[in-house]
Amino acid sequence: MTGNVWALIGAAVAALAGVGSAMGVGIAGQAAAGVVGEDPKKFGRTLILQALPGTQGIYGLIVTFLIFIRIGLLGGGGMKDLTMAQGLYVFACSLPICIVGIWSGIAQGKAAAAGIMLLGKREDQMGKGIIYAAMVETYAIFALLVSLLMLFNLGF
Amino acid sequence: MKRLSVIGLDTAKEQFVSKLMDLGALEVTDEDPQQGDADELAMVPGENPAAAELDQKISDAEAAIEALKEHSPVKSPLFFTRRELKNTDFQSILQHKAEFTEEMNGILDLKEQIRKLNEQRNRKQSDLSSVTPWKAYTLPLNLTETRCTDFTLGIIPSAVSFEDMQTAAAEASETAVLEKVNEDKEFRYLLLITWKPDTAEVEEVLKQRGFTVAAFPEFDENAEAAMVRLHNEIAELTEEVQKVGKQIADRYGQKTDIENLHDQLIMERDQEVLKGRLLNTRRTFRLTGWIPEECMDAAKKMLDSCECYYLFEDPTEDDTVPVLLENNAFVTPFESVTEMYSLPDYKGIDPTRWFSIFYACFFGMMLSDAGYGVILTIATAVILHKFKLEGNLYKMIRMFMYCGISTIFWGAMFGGWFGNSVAAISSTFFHSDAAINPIWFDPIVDPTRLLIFSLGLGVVHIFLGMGLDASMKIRRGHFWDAVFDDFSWYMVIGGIIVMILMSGSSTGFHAGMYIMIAGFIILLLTGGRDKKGIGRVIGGFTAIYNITGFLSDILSYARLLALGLATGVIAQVVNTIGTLSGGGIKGAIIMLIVFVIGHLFNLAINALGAFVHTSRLQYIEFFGKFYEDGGEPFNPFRRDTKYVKLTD
Repeated sequence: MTGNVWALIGAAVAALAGVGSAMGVGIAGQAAAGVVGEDPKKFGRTLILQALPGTQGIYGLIVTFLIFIRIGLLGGGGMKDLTMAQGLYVFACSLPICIVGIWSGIAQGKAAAAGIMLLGKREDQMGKGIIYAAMVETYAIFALLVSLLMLFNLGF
Repeated sequence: MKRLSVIGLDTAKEQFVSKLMDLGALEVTDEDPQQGDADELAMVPGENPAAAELDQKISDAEAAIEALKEHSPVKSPLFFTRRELKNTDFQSILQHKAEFTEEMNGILDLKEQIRKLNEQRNRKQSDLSSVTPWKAYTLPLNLTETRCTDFTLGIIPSAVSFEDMQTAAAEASETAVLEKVNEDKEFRYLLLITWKPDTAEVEEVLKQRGFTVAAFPEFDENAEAAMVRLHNEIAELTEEVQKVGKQIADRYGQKTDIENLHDQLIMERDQEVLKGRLLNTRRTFRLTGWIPEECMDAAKKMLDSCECYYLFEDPTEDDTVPVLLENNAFVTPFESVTEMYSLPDYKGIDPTRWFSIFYACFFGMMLSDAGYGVILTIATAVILHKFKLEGNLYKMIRMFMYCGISTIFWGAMFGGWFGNSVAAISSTFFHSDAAINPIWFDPIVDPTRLLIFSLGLGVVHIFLGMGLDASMKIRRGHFWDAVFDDFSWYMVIGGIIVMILMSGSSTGFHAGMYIMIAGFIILLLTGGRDKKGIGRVIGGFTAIYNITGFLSDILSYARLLALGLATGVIAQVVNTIGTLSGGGIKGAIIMLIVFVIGHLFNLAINALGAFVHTSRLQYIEFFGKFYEDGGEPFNPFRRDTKYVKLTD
C-alpha cells in the first residue's frame, strides 16, 4: 500500500461521522413524529431540534473535503505522491472526527429527542431543550478542531 | 418596584378596575382573607359568576375565528401582528357588539351543521364498509326467514376453517346449509340456512367455534344496491359539507368583527376576575400589588381620580418581587436570550447589558461570512420593516439583525464573502486571480492565530463574569469573599497568561509565576474558610482543583474557531462543486443553482449552530460565574388583547 491509499482511507473514515448523525437524526425524528402527531403546528420547531445531531456528518464531510484538497484529489492537478508516513499522518487526522462524531451523534440524537418531548409538553421551554442537545455537540466540535489542526499543520 | 396598597369605596370599584387596566402597570398579588367577627371588618374575596359566562363566550369567539381561518382560502401571514387601533375608535366600533355576537353565532351554527353532516357521513361510511364484503350475496340483506327456514348471515375469523364449520353444522342438523359468500384477509363471510326448529341448536354449535351473527335489519335491498345508495348519499353529504364550508368562507370579512368582540370579551373577563380577587368589606375594597417606580406618578393620578386611599412601600427582604428588565435600545433585544435561560433574581444583576456585545461578537465569529451576514441583516431588516412585531419575537429578530451586522464585520476581517466565491468565479470564468483579501487574516491559512485569539476573548468574557460576581459580593458587604473567590483567580489565570506571553524574558516569566503562586496560596488558605477542622485543609485543595474547571471553560471558546472554520470550509466546498463544470454559459447556470442551494443550506445550518453555541457560551461559561436566576416575570394587570393593539 502506498501513502495515497492510506490518505484516501482517511478521507473515507472521516466521512463515517455521518453514521452518528444519521442515527441521531433518526432517533430525534421518531420523537418528533410522536409530538407532531398530537400538535401538527409544532412541525417547524421539532425540525430545528431534529437538525441538531446532523452536524457531525457535516463536520466529517468538512474533514473529508479538506483531505481531498490537501492531497490534490480535487482541482484537476492529480493526486500528489505521498510517502507511507505522510499517508498515515492524513489517516490519523480523520480518526478524531470519525470516532467522536459517531458516538456524539447518537448521544445528541437522544438528547434532542428528549428536547422534543419537552417541546411537546412545555412549548415555551424549547430553548432549553436546544441547549441540552448542544451540550453534547461541544465534543464533536472539539474533535473537529483536533482533526482540523492536525490537517492544517501537516507540513507537506 | 414598589408595593402599592389601595383601599377604595365600593361605589368606585367599577371605575377603578377599568382605569387600572388602562394603566396596565400593576401586578396584583393575592392576599389571604383576614378573619374578623364583625362583618364590617371581615375581608372576604368577592364572587365572580360573570367571569365563567364570559369565558364561555370567549371560547365561542375563538371557535368562530378558527372556523373562518379553516374554511377560507386566505393564507395567514408569515408573522402574526396585532392591528393598531385607537381606544376611542375601538369603543365606537364596539357599539355594534350585538351585531358581532349575531355574526359569531351565525358562524357557529354553520360550524355545528358541518359537524352534524360529518357525523352522518361517518355513519354512512361505516355502514358502507360493513356491507361491502357481502356484495356477492344477492338476496335482500334484511331477509331473515322463509316459511320454514331461517336465514342467518355471519362471519368467522379466517383462522377458523370453513370445512370444519360445515361439518359442525351438518352434525348439528341434517338440514343445515352453510355457504361461503366471501372471504378476505381477516374474515370469512357466511350464509347459514336452517330448518326453523333446528336454528337455535345449530347457531349455538357454530357460535362456540367463533361464528358471529351479522344482522342488517335496516337494509331492505341487496348488498350491491345498498352500496350504490350509500355511495350516492355520501357524495351528497360531502357536497353539502363543502357548500356549508363555502358559506363560512364567504363570511371571512366578519373575522375582524369577531376578533374585536373576542378582545373586548377578554378585557371584560379579566376585569371580572380581578373584581373577584379583591378583598371586600361591606362598603370598601382593598388590593395590593407591585408597580414599577417609573409608573408611580401615573398611578397616583389615577388613584386620586377614583378617590382611593393608597400607600407606596419599598419591598422588604422576604418579599418575592416580580422582575422587569430595563435596558437601552441596543441591549433590549438580547433580553430574549436572558429570558430563555431564566430571569435574574430581583436582588441579582441583569446580565443582558454585559453580555450583549459579546453575544453579537461571538455570533459573528462563528458565522464569519460577510455574504451570509448581509443576507441575515437584510432579511431581518425587511421583516422588521414589514411587520409590526411585538414582544419576544421582535426582540429575537432585532437581535439577529445586530448579529448579522457583526457577521459582516468578522466576515470582512477573515475574508469570507460566500466563502472564496470571488476567487473561484474569477478564476473559472475570467481566468484572472482577483479575490477579496481578508482585512485581518484568513483563518484557514493560520488557524492557530485565531485559536489563541478565541481563547483570549474567552478569558476576557470569563473575567468579566467573575468581576460581576465580585461586584455583587462587595455591594452586599462581603469584600473579602470577592478577594478570596474572584481576585485570587484573576491572579492565577493572569499570572499564567503573563508567563506565556513573557516566556522570552526571565524577569517577566518569573513575575507571572509569582503572581500565579500568590493566587494559589490565597486559594489554598481561604478555600475552606467556611468549614471546620480537616475540612478547612481539604477545602483549600478543592478550591485549587477548580483550575480544571477554568481550563475547560476557556478551552470551550475554541468553538469560535471551529464553527467559523466549518462555515468557511463548507462555503469553499460549495464553490468548488459549483465551478467543477468549468466556464461558459452551461457552467454559469450550474454554478448559479449550486451556489443558491449550497449557500442557503450552509447559512441555515450554521446560523442555527452559531445561535445555539453563542447562547451556550453565555449560559454555561458566563452565567456560571455569577448569575443568580429564578426571578418571576412581571405580569401586570393590563389589556391582554390578542388581535387588537389599543393605543390611547
